Amino acid sequence: MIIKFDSTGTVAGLKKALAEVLEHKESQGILILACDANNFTPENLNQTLQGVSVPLFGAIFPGIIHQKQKLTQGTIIVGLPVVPNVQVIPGLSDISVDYEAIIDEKIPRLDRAKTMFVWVDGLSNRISALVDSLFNIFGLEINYIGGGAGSLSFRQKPCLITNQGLLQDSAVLALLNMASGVGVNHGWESIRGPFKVTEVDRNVIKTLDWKPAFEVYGEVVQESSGQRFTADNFFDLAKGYPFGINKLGAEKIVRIPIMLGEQGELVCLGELPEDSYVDILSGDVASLIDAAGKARLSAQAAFAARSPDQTIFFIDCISRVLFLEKEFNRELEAVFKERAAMIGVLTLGEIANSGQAYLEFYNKTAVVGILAD
Amino acid sequence: MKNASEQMQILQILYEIAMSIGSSLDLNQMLKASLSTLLKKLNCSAGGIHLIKEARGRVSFEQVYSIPRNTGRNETYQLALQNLPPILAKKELVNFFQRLPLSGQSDQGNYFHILELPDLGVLIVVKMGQDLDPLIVKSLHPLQKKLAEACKACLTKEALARSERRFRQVVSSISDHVYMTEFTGEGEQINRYIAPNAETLTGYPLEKFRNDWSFWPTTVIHPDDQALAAVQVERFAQGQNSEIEYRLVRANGNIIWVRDSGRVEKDEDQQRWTVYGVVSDITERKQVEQTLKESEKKFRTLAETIGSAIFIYSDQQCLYANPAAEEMTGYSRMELLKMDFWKLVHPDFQEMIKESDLISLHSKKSSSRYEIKFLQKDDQERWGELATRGIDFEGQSAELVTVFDVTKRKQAEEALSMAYQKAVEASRMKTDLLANVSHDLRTPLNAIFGYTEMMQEGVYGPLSGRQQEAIKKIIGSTGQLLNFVNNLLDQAQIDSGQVVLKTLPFAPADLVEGVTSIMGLLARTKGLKLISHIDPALPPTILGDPYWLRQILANLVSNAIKFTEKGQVHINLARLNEVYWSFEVSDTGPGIPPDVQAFIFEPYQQEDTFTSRGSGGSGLGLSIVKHLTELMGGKIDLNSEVGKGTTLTVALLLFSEEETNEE
Repeated sequence: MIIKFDSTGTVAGLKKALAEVLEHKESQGILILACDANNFTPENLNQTLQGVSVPLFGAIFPGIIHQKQKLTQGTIIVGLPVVPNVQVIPGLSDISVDYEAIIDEKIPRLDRAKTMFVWVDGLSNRISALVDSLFNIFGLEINYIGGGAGSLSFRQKPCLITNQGLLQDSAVLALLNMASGVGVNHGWESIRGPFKVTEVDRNVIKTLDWKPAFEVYGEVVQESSGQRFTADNFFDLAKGYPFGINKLGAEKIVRIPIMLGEQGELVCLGELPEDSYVDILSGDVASLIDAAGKARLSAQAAFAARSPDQTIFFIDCISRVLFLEKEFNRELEAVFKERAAMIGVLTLGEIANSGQAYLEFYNKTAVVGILAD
Repeated sequence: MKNASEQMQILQILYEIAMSIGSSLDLNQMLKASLSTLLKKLNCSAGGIHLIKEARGRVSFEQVYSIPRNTGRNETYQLALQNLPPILAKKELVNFFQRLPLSGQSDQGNYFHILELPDLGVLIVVKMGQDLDPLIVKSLHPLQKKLAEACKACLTKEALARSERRFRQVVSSISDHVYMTEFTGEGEQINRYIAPNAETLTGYPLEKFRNDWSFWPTTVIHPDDQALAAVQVERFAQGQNSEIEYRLVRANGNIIWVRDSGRVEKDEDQQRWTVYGVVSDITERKQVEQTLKESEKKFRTLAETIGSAIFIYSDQQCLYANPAAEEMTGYSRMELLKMDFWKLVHPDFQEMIKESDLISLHSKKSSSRYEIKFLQKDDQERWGELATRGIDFEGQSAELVTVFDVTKRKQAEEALSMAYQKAVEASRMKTDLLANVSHDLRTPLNAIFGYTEMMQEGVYGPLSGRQQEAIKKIIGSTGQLLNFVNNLLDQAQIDSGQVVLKTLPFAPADLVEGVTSIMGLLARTKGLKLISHIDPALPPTILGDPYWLRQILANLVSNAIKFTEKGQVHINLARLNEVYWSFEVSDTGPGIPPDVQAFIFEPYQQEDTFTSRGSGGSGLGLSIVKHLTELMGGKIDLNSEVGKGTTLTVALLLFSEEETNEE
């Protein structure tokens, strides 16, 4: 696996690094991880992307990870030793799209693929439906690793990198004949609940226990944090108090409220089922960092030392970064492993499968993938 | 024991799963939502629904939905499937369900659970890593029931949808027009449905009917039948079924016949009912009916006017009798319809009819004819010619029996037969009389003839010229009379069957000699030449009855001389071939006209111009010749031309003594 990092975050820098990676015969496919702050647009980047002769996929994130560094500018270009089968699933917010039918058509067989990268536009609102479709079709036959791309501005824009150029409101699937191990953990704990999700429109919670959602949520958060919500600080405060969807014998599935609607509704990253019960969670630095370390250990255990040369692929939720702030380096330390390359992305939601249970679209979760070099 | 928080969490999860069940009436959608939630909430890695599939009293489990779709690569799931019976008798299903829930563990430490979906099938869940808590498994039971109910609802909906699709297909594929109209107790009529076939049936576009429900009763129904159709609607309005036939005027002006049949289905409260109606084109049937009616009318007219009695029977029960049957039997039609057929048949013929299976009334299609006696009501016997034939009568197998009264013909036949018997008897008596008379006549005639000849020869003294003349006439007349008596005697012998032919050897030359010696004098008397010729090919001796052969030849020669005034009579004996020989007598007489030739061989027949008085014949000659010839197995042939002469040829079988000896 050839990894190049361009710290300039420019198209020219990307081009240069890309050329260097492609010089290696080993590079049979390209993975590009770019920062939102690079300001890549279809206009300035598509020509470059369309000129690449090998299969290419990637995404633009609020931040990327290179070794033990969290970066908000720059681009990581990875030359993959295998030819990825890259497929684009469009219409990730379109209620009429049957994802199973599209996946069936585009990926009739897994062939020898062992790992699937799944990059989605993190601001699309049918991500869970896509994730369910993937699991309905492929089950546990393959390891899934990926997450939501996009901007912390929460403004939807082209953020998925393909040979066609930059895309938005879509998903990019890349199947690789490459062994992997995956670990998932978040470390958030319930502080109040359960609350019944009485009205929800996919990722927008309207009422909890038949009360306006913000009324219920705000009360708990303000009481717990001792701070008050204002017109400007919603996300700053909410990032520390996600919702947790119950799951038997497993960590709760976390949903972050990212915006407050005019009617008091809470816009979350990821869908919530109506009639489900949610808790309001909170975490502390230690539990989160501990969780990240556990995720790496789980991934390592799942990888089962199939290859001595490994690359750690760390997918961590941007909200964790925002929550941990300066302590985030400790999370990177917890995941990092000596003698292994580590790259990663800071996402708007994470997609992973622990190898034993249902595939989920997570929030505020640390996903560690270990890939064979 | 779980703490309150854990119990609460379990309840919440179960509630969430429960809420996801039955969210859709589409089976796949419902199972997807339910199973997906269930697996997510229970942190399971795979699951599937297997429903009971029944065929011929045996059941199996068919996977209808699973997550992931391909469970074939999930080893634990496959292990679970091994615990499902591949096929079992339906009655064993209860025992299998009693064993549920079934759980198991794979070698890799993964777990499966097979849970019952009551009366429907099973739910399989696979959990990896750590097994489900037994309390959870137990707590799932209400969800299993709910899932089963939801599946049933979906299946019912699917079945209904299929049924509706089929119904719609049927409705659209049949040529009949279907409608549905709702009535209320208050007399309100709401037309709910009119099938597209109305367009085909009437030729009008469907919109015409859908936009204006009065279009059918006021425009399409034939004006003369609209009142009838209105009565039907009134019946429907009263909640009664109704079926009527009326005419429709199609868009192109053609008139067709339809049957409008409506069935009423009432709601439970009886306050509202729906009429399900079918309008079928019966024009063809009507045309056939009309043809049949006309045909039946013709038949009835024929049957009612014909002179023969006509009965139609089925299972020995009379279904029809015509006026001629009444007249012929003396019974009224009503009496005949109630009567047993055998009462009409004379007892003497019943057995014959039964044996011949004539009135089997088994609807044999072939016809039979018999003459039988039947009995009238007053026990008078009548003769009838009876014919039977199997037919289809008003939809059932029947036997058409016709009887033609032949009593008068039978009576005439009987009278004729009696007359014939009498005639035969009279003929026999005549023959006997003739034989006796002839015999009695011949004896004195012989005496007269003998004594007269002796007188002519001068045995009793010399005769004067006049005496000689008188004696000559006496001898001539006596000979003529004797010949006549001999012929009568021969005919009588033949008629009475007393002729016995002998088979003796004789020389044909002697036969000719014997006849010419007698007939030569007669020929010379008339100035005729009597010439004979014998074919050298003829054997010198042949077998036969020389007496009767001489009679035949003598008769022929005698006749020839008799009717020939000048010229010659020629006798020719010849061998025709290896089988036959013949003797032929030709004359140069007047010949026999063709119309006389037809009966010349009948007894007592002579052509008028050659009556016995004129020719001195008895009229028996040729009749005797023919009879004798035929008795001998031969045949006689006449060849005659008026003005030229006659040739009679007798051909006989040739039996020579030599050939017989050789054999």
